[in-house]
Amino acid sequence: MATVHIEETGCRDCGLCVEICPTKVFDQDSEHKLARVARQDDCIGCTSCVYLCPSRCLSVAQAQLQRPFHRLEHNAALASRFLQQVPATEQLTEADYHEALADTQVRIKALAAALQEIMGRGYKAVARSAGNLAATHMPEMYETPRLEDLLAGLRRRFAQGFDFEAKVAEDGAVALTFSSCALHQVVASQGEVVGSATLCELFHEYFAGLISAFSGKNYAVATLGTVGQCTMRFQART
Amino acid sequence: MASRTERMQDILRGLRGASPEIIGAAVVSIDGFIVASVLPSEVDEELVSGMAAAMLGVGERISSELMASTMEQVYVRSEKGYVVLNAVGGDSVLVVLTSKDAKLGLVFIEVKRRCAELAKAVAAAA
Repeated sequence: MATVHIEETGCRDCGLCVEICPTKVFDQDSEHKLARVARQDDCIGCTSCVYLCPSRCLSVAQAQLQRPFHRLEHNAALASRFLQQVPATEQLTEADYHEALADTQVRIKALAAALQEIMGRGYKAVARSAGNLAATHMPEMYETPRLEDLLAGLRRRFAQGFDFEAKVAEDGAVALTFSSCALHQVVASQGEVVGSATLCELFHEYFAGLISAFSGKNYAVATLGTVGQCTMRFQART
Repeated sequence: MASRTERMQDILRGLRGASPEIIGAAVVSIDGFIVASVLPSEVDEELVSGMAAAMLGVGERISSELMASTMEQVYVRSEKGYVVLNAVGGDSVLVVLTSKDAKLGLVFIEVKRRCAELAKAVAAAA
């Protein structure tokens, strides 16, 4: 017989397990709304509660799976509701946006600083490798043989945070001029020089890693100008 | 006249030929690019160059922070052999792979000698 256990310190009274359980194993206590196992014998071991619990504080032992309840569509909708994918965007205020932006700025800046602190001059190589690895998550780009088309594809992929104009020289060198950059505000807010800050260099190398992976050539990056707009030149190494 | 890469390639071949326990070698720039290489074909050069550059960076940081000194060498011992990284000039690193039976003292002497030659090749091209 399946045995359900709730780690009480992890429960955050969301009530999802109570709602999803097809056999009503759980109750919520009236005072704190914490979930508790009220009808242990009714558990059929569907593990829907384990799957759904956002705190991962639920476990089901000795379960013999009956049906994949958690894959039913209405339960997926329940998970979606909890994750607030749709409502959250509707309910966000401008203050929420600024709070989230400030939080992200601090984190991303700390990440860049830590990379440089630990890796020293090696941080650029790490960013290039990150670009190489990220490329594998964009498989459609590998099917784009022309460099111009590849850059157009990257522009579409990065459209949420970046916009750039790309020019390909006869020797295959690529010049990118960024008219919009999500990192610009982050760097400027920290009082650093846009284009030459650690975060900027990490992104430039990351981008070089992407282009290198898709084109099959090793592209090195040089920053040409940073006044107003960042312009970078990516040159294939022989 | 041989190009810089060809000269470095020759030096690496000489290094590899110095001992049967030396499996391969490469010169990697601090940016993570392979400058010259005689690595076995099954070794992923891109991966090695990225890791070597990162390790050079970490080695430099550790040397400067803990010993207030410049980094000369990093070496890694595994069950199957050694990886030796030795700075070449200011912006490159020599990576040497050896089997577990390598006499490290001899490898270090050879690495030191070849690094001096490689540094000259790098400086001549600059």
